[in-house]
Amino acid sequence: MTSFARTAALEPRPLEHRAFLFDGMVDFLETAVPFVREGLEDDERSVVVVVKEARLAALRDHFPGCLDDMFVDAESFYEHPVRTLRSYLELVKAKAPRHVHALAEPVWRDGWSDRETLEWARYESLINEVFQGTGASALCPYDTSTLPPRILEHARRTHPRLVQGGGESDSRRFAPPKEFSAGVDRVREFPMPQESEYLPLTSHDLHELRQWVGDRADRHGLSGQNAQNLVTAVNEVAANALRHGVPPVGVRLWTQDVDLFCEVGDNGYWSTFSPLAGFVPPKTALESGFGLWTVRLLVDLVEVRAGWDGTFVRMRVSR
Amino acid sequence: METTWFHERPVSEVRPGDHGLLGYADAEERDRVVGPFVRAALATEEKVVYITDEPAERLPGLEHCSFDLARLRSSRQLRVLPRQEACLDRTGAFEPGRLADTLFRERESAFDEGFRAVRMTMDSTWLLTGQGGSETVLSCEDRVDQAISPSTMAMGICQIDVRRCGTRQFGALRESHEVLMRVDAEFDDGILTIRRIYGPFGLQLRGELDASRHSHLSEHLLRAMASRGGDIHLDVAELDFIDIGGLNLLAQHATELPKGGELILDHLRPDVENVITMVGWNRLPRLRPGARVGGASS
Repeated sequence: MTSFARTAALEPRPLEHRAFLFDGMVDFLETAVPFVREGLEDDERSVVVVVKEARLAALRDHFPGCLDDMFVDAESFYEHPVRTLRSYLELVKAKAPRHVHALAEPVWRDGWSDRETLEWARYESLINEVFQGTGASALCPYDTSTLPPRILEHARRTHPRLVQGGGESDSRRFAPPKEFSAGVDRVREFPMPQESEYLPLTSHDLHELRQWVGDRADRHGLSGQNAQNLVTAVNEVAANALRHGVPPVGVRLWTQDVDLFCEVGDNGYWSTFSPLAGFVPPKTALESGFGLWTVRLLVDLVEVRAGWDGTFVRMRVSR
Repeated sequence: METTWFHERPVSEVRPGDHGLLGYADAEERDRVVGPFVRAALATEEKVVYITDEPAERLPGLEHCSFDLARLRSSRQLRVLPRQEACLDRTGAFEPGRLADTLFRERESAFDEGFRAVRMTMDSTWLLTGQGGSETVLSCEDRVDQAISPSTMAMGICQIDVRRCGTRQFGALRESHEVLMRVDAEFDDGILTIRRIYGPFGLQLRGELDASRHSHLSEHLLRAMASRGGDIHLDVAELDFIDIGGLNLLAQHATELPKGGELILDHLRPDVENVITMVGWNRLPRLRPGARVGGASS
C-alpha cells in the first residue's frame, strides 16, 4: 500500500447508496461482479452480499475462494424493516474499522399490501440517514424485468445515485429521508373497525391495561412471546400518552383478518413529531426516541398519527 | 431456579412455630433480620432469648435503641444468655442436649412470666467453624426443632454467616430448617416488590415494573448504590414484566455507578430478556446479564 493510500484512508468516506437497475442475469453480473471484486481488493472494506437465491448462487461461482458467511440469502435478511435496519447497523459496527461494502437486494414480496411495500421503501430511504458517517457503500439491485414500476420509482426516490446500463448518474427523483417518510405517512389510511373494544386509561398504574391486552391477545390467538411483546409495546405507548398527552387517554383493540390491532389515543397534539421518529436506531437507551424505536421493533407495524384531533399510535401484529 | 419446598419469610411475617434459618452475607443483612425480630418482641408482650457472649447493648436491634435494657432484663423479657450457661459443658465444649434443655426451659417459663410468645436466636457460625463443623450443628437441630416447631408461642432464628461456611455446609443446614428468613421488603404494593439482597449485594425485584413504580425503584436503587461501591446485582428471577422506560431507568442509574461498576441482571427470564435482546445489550451501557436461570454465572 502506498503512503498516499494510507493517508487517504484516514479521510472519512462518504456514504454511498446506489440503486442498481438491471435487466436479467447477464446485466446483473456485469456490474455486481466488479462491485464485489472492488470491495475484496480494498483492505479497508468488508464485503457482504445479500441477494436473492438465484443471484447468490451465480455470484458464489464467481468468487469460489470466499467464505460462505459473506453470502446471505435476502429472503432471511429482509423480514421486518425496523429489525433489519437494526441488524444491518450491528453488522456495520461489527465490521468497523473496516467499511461495509454491501451488495444488498431488498426483497419485494408478491403478496404484500401497498403499506408493506411502502414500509420497505421507507427502509431503503432510511439507509441514507442511519448509515451517515459509517463510510459504508451499498449497491442495491432492482430487477427491472420483474419488479413493478412503482417499486422502481421508489428505488429512484430512495437512492441518491443510480447505476443502469453500465453508467452511473444522480437520481433526479431522489427525496431526502424526512421528505420521503412524510410522503409515505401521507398516503396511509386509518379505517376504523366496525367492532372494537375500548379501555379508558385514567390511572398511571398500567397493571390493569397489561392484563386487559394480555387476555385479549390470548383470546384472539396471539400467544407466547408475540403476546408479551404486544403487551410491552402497548404499555410503553400508553405510559407515554399518560405522561405527555392530554386526557382522555384510551386503548382500542380489534382484529381484522389475520391481524390484531391496538391503538392508543389521547387528545394532545404532538407538535414536535418527525416522520423519522422511532425509525433511526438510538445509540443507547439513554437517547430520546428509544421507547418508540423499541415499540417499532416489538410489533409488526407502528403507525403514528399526530394531528390536531389528537395523537394516535396504532400497532399491528399478525396472529 | 431455586427449589422452593421450604418457605421464605420476611422477618416481619415470622409466626409461632417458625424455626428459621438466616444465612447472612454481611452484618447489615443480619441486623436487618435479627434487629426487627428482637425489637418487635420487646415492643410488645413477647420474650427474647438471645444466646451470645456479646453484651446486650451491642446486639442487633439493641444497639442505640430506646429500650431500657436493664429493666427488660430484670423482668426477664430480655434474656441474654452466655454460651457457657446455655449450651456448653464444663470443659467448654458444645453440648447439644444442654442447648435443647435451655430452649425448653425458657419457653416453658415464658408463659408463667406473662409473655404471650418467645423469640429465640443464636449465631451458630462458631459451631460450624469449630470442631465437628456442620455435623455438630445438625446433630442438635432436631432437638431445637422440637423446642420450637410444635409450640404455638415459640419462634427461633438460627444465624449463620455464609461467608464462613461452605455451600455444602449451608445446603445441609437449609434442609434442616423449614423456613428461610429474609429481610423485609423495602417496597411492596402488591404488584412490585423490592427487597435488599446481600449475597451478592443488590435488590431483588418481584412482580411487574412499570412507569408508576419507577420512582420507587429509583429511590431504593440509589440507596443501595450509596451504601456500597462497585457492582449492584438485581435478582429478577421473579420479575414478570419490565417496561421499556424501566430499561431506560436502569441504564440511567448504571451511568451513576462508580467507575467500572455495573448493574448486573441475575436470573433473567427468557420472555423478559427478549425485549433486551431485541434492543441489544450494547444499547444498555454498563448493564449486563449475570447468573442465568437455573445455571451458573456467565
